[in-house]
Amino acid sequence: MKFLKFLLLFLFFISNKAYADIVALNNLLIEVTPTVSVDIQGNYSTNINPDNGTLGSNLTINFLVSSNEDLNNIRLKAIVNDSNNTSISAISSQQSSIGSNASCYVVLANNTYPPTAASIADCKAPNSTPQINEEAIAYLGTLNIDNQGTLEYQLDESNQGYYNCTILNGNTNISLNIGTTPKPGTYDSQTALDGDNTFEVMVYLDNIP
Amino acid sequence: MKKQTLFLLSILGLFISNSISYSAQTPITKLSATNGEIKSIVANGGQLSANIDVNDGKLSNALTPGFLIVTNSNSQKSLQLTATCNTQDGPVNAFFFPLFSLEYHYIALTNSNVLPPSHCVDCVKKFNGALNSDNNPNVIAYRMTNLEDIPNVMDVRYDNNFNRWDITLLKRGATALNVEIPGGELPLTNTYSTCDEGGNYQATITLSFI
Repeated sequence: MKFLKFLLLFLFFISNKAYADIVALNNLLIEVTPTVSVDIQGNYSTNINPDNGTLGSNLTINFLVSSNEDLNNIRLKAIVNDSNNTSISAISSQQSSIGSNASCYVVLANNTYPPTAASIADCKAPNSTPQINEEAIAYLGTLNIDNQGTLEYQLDESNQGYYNCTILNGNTNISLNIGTTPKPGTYDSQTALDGDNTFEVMVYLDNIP
Repeated sequence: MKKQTLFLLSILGLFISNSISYSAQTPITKLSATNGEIKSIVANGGQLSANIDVNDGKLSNALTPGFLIVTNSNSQKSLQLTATCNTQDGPVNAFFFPLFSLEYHYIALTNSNVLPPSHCVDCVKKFNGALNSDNNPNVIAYRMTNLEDIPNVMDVRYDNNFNRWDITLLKRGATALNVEIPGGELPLTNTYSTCDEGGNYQATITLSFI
């Protein structure tokens, strides 16, 4: 009986011109919304060998972006908090080319005793010195994007680095793989200025419609 | 009309439930790595040997054994500085703080070629530098420079019960610690005499985390 009512209602719905206008209006609401979903997976935690700063395993994160339209200006960001609780980009790169892969340095910061902004900046500089980047360690990161997408390292208006991603419709994987070896000059067991705490970086995609 | 609205909402709901949509950014994912503890002490140079003037027992130069303490821990660490000298009865504590002394601490060195019995070292410690030089052959005691607090680096305290230095390390990183037995000073009264035979007089100083 309920099904019959539903069927009648449906027939009435599609045959009534006055209601058809309403339907068209509601359909329009659906059509203007880009369907974008993101599935996030990866290896999010490991340990650090205190003797040499080597990670126990790669840190990885993969964003599977499913979109029914092309997307521009999706931003892959990685940030850390400094000792003033200010968020600072944890990414630095000397490459500015556009491509499907890229390499950069990613800074991990002590979560219990956050580093100074200067310490983070030294980790991101071309040459780093252990004595002036305490409580921050940088590792080499590699980025990849498939489905004919592109990556480009850019700086925002605050001079903070991020990766601008161009995505074609369909399923696109954007991955960041942080290698195990610390960037030279960012970890030294003899100066021992990176504490026995947890170091972390926060990663996300921004500017999603 | 309400049913129609519900129906339309249900269609819209189907579209929404097919995917997780984010309005502006994805959730923040934390990638983390936990660092282990570094806690080490290594010998760090310094002058480890000197000659003894046969006439008065003075050291030709200061003895300055050094240590390098390395830790990445942000919590305070406790250490102990101890010293031993060898005797016929095995190693005994070489640091002592004589009753007459208001300020200085001493260290006993024993002849490693002709080991004294342990009571000779006890004699030096108990009788404020020995009642006479005959009762402590092959043991010579010297004053050592007191260890002092270093603000924001370490606190030090001499433990009279155990005759050792208790050290609290206040910072992480690499910290140097130097011990000094001054040169050119006379040994503790009545601890040097012709009863002390030729040979190498030694003590072993140890710094350790506890």
